[in-house]
Amino acid sequence: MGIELKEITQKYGNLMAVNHVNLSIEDGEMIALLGPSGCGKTTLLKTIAGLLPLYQGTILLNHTDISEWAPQARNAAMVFQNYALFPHMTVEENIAYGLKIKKVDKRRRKEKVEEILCKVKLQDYNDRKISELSGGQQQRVALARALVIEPAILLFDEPLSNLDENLRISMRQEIRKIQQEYGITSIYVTHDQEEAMSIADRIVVMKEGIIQQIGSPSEVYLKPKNRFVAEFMGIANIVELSQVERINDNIQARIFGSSIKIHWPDSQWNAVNNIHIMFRPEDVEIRDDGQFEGRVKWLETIGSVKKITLENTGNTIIAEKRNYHKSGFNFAIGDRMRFMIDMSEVYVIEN
Amino acid sequence: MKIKSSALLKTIYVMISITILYFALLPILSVFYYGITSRSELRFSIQILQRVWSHMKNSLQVAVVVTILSTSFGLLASITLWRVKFLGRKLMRLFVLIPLINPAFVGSIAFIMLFGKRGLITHTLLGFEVSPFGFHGIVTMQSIGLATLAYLIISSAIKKTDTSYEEAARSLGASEGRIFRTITLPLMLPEITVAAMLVFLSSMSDFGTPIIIGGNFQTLASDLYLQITGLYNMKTASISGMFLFIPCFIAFFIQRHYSGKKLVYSHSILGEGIEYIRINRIVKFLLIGLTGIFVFFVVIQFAFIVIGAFTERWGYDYTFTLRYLKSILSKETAPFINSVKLAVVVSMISSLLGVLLAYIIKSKRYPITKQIDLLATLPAAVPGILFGIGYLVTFKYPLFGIGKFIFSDTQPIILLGTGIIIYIICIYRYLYIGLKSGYALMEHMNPNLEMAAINLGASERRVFFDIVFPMLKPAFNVAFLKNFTSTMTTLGAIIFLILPKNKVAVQQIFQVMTSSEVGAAAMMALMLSLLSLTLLGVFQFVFNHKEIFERLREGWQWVSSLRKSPKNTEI
Repeated sequence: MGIELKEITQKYGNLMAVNHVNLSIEDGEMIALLGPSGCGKTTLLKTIAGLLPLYQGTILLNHTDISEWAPQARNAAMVFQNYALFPHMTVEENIAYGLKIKKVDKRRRKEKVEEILCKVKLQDYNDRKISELSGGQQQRVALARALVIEPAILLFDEPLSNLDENLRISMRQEIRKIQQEYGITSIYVTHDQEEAMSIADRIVVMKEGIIQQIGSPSEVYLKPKNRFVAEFMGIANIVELSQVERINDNIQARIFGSSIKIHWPDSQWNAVNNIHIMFRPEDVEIRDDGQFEGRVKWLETIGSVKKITLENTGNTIIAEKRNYHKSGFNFAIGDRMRFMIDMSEVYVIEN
Repeated sequence: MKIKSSALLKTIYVMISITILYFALLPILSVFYYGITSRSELRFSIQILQRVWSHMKNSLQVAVVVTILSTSFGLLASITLWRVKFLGRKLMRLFVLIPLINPAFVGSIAFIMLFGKRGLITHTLLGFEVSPFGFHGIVTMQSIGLATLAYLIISSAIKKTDTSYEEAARSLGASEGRIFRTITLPLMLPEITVAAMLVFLSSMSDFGTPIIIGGNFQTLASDLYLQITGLYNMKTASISGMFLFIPCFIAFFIQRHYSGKKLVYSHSILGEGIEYIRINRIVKFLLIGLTGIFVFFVVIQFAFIVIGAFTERWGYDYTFTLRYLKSILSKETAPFINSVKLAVVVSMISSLLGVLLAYIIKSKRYPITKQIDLLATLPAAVPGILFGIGYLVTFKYPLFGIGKFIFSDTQPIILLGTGIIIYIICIYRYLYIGLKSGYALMEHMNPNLEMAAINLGASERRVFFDIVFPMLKPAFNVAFLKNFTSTMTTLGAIIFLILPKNKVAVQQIFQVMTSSEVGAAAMMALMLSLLSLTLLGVFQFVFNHKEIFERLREGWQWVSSLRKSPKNTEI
């Protein structure tokens, strides 16, 4: 079922936790709400679930206004950050709890629990106590408990933040598979940009209660609207242009003491000052015949990649050299290095 | 489809709050009302004040010395029993708790047996005819009993302190002594203050010990008792009572100030915490030695109660006898049954109300929760005997005078003189136990649990009964056990309110002791301790029976699996 949020605003005292948020989510879509802690993403999620009373705005579920509905009536099942499994109930009792409230009869309940336990790969765990489960297993029970009531929407509140790295990666794949299989419209709150990109159809980047950008994972990564999104989605090299000139659909300017030309057809951009460009480390190539030159400030080896911090005329950028061991990489800190920037990947941003 | 807040919880909150006003605040105010409005002559008032002042001086002297001694021994024992490794530590941890199941004054039995007129040491060994009753006796007996209280609080702090701070200091090169002085001690300071204040309060309100072994040295609390039982002088008692309140309230508010501050610096609670491995030998022996002396006193106290219970006539005839036991079992069981009845009913109701109130105060945003919390905790600061006097002067009127108008043509309901009043006073006196244990649990409760249930469609009523109620059960259990031991050993609050037909064991023991029948008192005290212990065991079993049965079942399955496949045993 589709969801539409119109002008949602939430306040904690004078603080605008969520600031005039507009968002429409299609049926079966998985949306990631991404942002640093305190950006209002969890508040927004709990608002949709009805767990926080709405301050301002409208929530439409399948074109029906549910803004004033009790949380019990919304059929929006939530998977909580620390799972919130009832510690005094067994696995089965936890999962069956929602069904019991819906007055599903006992036999059907049992069937559905079995079915869902199978789905989350926890067969024969029915009578286990919650305290006997590992973090990953608890996570699966929490997912099963939410799924089993066949909710209209699924809400995830940083569900993987308590798990270790490897488990996080496999769990997010499983969550995504199950979500697609059931075709449930889902909202997934996280502060981990990699998790958001791997799991969602679209990402909503938030900062201080305001949506910064909505877009597909590649859009927000490659074409960030602003400096915040660019930096939040990964390492971003942001350089100010000087001597900017617009020639038709192109921008002519100078960086690192060398002139460049960027194809930029956006007609809104006619300011000549304070234009920044953004490019990712993988778009920088170390070549002896490169157009630019920089001084090596810092070197890091991360597995098969050398991360090089370069400096030129007060700008600092980060470059990546893959398979450095095959190509006789022998630079040291303080050396001068020539490099190229892939101008087709360069993106002009608002600062 | 608005979110409806449940009327159920609101009703409970209002009901509990009103009864707290009525049964906790009103009696306390009544004492002041009585004290101030007693229209006595000026000269008489000055006489009273002089009398009050001399007793106040005694009380303060005793309380200050006892507070210093008990807190020091509590701290010493906490460090020794939880930080120093030595043989017999676990046994000592057990012994040190003995005073908890005895009424405060019972330890004095041993004192009389050793130092009394016909005492083993004073008379038989040294041939004295006089006895060292008075200040020193009171201080000794109270210090031993109350050091256990201090130990309980301080050791809980030592168990939960985050050891990483100490490890950090150690890695920075601080010596063990310096770490203790600059890290361990400051982190425990809130608990030490709380312990000291509680010891002070208990010492101020103990009237039994001075009456039994005080001789001419009487305190404010014991003088209160004498004035009411001896002279039935309510007015003088009220005035003395007002003065007894002052130091108690000061202590209470200091304590509240400290325990109100969040005592949460411990993130990880690791079983036994750290132990001092490289400890100075002299320090180690000093610690063990001093704690050993303290534990020795506790054990001696109890041992002499046991010995006294089976001795024909202490000081005159040291032959073994079963006559005290027989006499209790044949005709004196009623007070024990009354005690158990009182303790069970009070623990049930009081713990339930306390825990419920804790939940409501912490999780709902109802008005004046702070004030209600204060009022519910206030009886903890009021000496039991004073609380009892408050009930005495308040509830001799039908419904505090109101009943006169409402029930004009029916029999007026006067609480005083009914059997129910001692239940009510104990419930409200110990309500704070449930409240505190509820708060402690709520600190660790995941607030998302309720949200999760709501999210799955549960109504607020359903959330309460399915989730909150079972979640609060551990807090109820803890409060119940603590409440039970408190009520079983309480005397001050109920001594003026008890009817002959529901006389409790503690009162019986106290009466027998004041008439110096050592053997009978010792036997009764022993029986009461054993009864408390047995019942505590039973309750523990009831609370944890599920787990116990599960263990047994697992064990049985294991045994039968061995039988079925004898090959397995070889592996």
